[in-house]
Amino acid sequence: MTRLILSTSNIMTGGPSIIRKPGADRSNLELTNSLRSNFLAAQQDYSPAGGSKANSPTNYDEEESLFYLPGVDVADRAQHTKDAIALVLKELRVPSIDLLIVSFPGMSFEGDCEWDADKKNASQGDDKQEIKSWSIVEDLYDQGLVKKLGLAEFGSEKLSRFLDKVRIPPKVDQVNIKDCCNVPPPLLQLAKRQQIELLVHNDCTNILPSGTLRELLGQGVRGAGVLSESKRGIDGMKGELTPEWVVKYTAVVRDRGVIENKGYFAVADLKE
Amino acid sequence: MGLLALGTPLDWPDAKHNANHVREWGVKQLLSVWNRAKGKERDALLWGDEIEYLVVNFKEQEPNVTLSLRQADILTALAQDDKLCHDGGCVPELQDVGGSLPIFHPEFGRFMLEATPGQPWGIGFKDLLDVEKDMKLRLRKEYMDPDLIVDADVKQQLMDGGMDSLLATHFAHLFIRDPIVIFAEDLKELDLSKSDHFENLQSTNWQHIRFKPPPTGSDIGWRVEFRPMEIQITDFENAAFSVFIVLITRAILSFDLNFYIPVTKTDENMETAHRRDAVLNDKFYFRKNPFPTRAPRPYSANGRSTPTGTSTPSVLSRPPTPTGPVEDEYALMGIDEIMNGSKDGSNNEFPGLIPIVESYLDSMNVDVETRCELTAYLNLIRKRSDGTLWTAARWIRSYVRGHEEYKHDSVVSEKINHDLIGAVIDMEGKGEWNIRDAGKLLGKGFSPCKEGIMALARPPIVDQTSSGP
Repeated sequence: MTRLILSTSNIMTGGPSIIRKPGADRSNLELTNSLRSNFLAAQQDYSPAGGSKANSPTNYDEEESLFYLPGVDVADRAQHTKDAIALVLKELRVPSIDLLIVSFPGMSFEGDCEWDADKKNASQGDDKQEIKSWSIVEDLYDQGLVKKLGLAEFGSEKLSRFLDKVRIPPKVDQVNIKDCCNVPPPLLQLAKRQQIELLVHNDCTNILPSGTLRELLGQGVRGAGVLSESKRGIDGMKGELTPEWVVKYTAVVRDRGVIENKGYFAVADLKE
Repeated sequence: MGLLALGTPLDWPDAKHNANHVREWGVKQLLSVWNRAKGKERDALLWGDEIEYLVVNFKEQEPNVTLSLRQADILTALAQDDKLCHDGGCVPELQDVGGSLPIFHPEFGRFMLEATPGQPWGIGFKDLLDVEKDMKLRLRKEYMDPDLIVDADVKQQLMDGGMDSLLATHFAHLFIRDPIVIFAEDLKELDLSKSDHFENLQSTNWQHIRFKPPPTGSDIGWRVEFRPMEIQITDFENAAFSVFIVLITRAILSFDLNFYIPVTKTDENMETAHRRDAVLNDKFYFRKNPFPTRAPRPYSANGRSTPTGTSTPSVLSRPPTPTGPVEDEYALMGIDEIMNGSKDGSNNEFPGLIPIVESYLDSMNVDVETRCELTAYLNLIRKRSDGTLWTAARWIRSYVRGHEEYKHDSVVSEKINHDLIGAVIDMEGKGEWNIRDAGKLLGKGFSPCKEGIMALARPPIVDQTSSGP
């Protein structure tokens, strides 16, 4: 069994691949384009753009979004989380993260309208598993590795049930609402009452499906040529590829609103 | 020009006689300020805006509208306004108080007033909703105006005082001018703790960008003023443009973007911008590719040679290393393309300033309500750029042409003037709907209240005049 760790490096100087096309919504394009870009740059022997990040951790707000991917054993989440935090702390050269947002598989905010989306959301995911996994990040909070906890794509009902059961409440709920001016009032009110920041973002929770990853690493026109297409693995590695988790990290210069470092790590398991 | 004092100037022959005196003292004051503040770093980024008002006498039932010279009276009244004082607003020249409500200053003419925020805004997104601007100024020699005139003596004095060549050149260019206004009291003694002589020359140069040293007696830091923006009719529009400037500067710093073109081309752009409906019909010089370049490694890690000739997916296209001529870096583009990006299938692949700003916002933590309001601002600019909404100039022309008294002879009568100003006052003050073509200027469903902003932020359902993907 082989473990693949993929990295985009700092995408802020990555050029056109990070600019969203007008009108496009909820996507994983930033991740896939940046990975592809980074593989090609490595193959063409380009040095990474931009210098290494300055030190002085107190001047930055660091944030991490951890995406647990579907089809992965929940029992592995504890280890995955530890690995993800370790990778990001090392990359940003900081002792702790200001905000960690957890994104569970199967969650989304989609519907004919925002009310509809909120209702559909109520029956998504798996409450028990999510609450159990949450204790992993509560530990990180207790250890001082993470200063604030957050969730992704939790509508009003799920959030309400979640808040009832967990020890350390999330302070942030990041939702992928199509129309920011139409947040369902129950969610707005719940967030205000519980003092939870409702933030907007553009990521989809299934951020790295296995088909996409195969294509990224495979032999096709836009692939990195690392994975073999054939069973005998003549021109690359072979096996069953399962993406396990993705982490997105951002470092913003405090009091200036300038993003200095943003990137992704993706980890996949390759079983022959 | 918020640093003017109330006073009476010398007549021109006397002022002309003292021009050099002011220049010399200005240089000394600048060096004094510069030496005090040149080491300032790591300040939190703050920003503010200045809006200049014309004070007019307008009465609904009176046919003539006139300029009001009651600037001083108005400032006194504002200073004595108990409610305003109680809430922290003020006129600093007449009072001791400072606060977070707007501050009013006298402006150059007696019919003018200026308002600035009481305190500068911070960089939190909530602060953006109250308006702002600031920019990082970067200079490379090949983009400078080759015909720039400087006062060589001033430049030498500044460099002797320790200033670097580029900054000295900039100020030496400002100092070629003679001061128009000199107050006799100020010529008696040089006070190095003040900057009035420096400000005399600095603030009577009306460049598009002004680089402002910290004022004496304040810890406020260096500032850059972005000046070419035209005033809009409503506060909503003024806020939209100011906020856009702040966001694009954050995006430039975050994505390490480069928009340099030779300064002479920006001069040409300004000339072009004066043409009627330039936003719809004309093209402007703009940098084709704002993204940073990657330098190739000095040695090859695995001996692989770079692929030749095969098609590279567009997402991977890297701009070539900067060895070409400057002329290849920029092209003529319309405002729609500059703001909203090149259309699919066009020759250019310019990303567009608004998509750049949106990508920046996607990467920052913005709460839903703030994002809603920011979206309304961006939509206004998007639609002004693609022609869906009219500019103020177009609206004014249309208003006059459509006025029943207009005889299509380029004469704007007192009545037309009166009605036009009344319409402008009502648009902001009452948010009135029956103002002719207000919807073409501001969009459907606009009203100054929050619901209106929500309406503007919603994607249009049916809009035959909108274009683009």
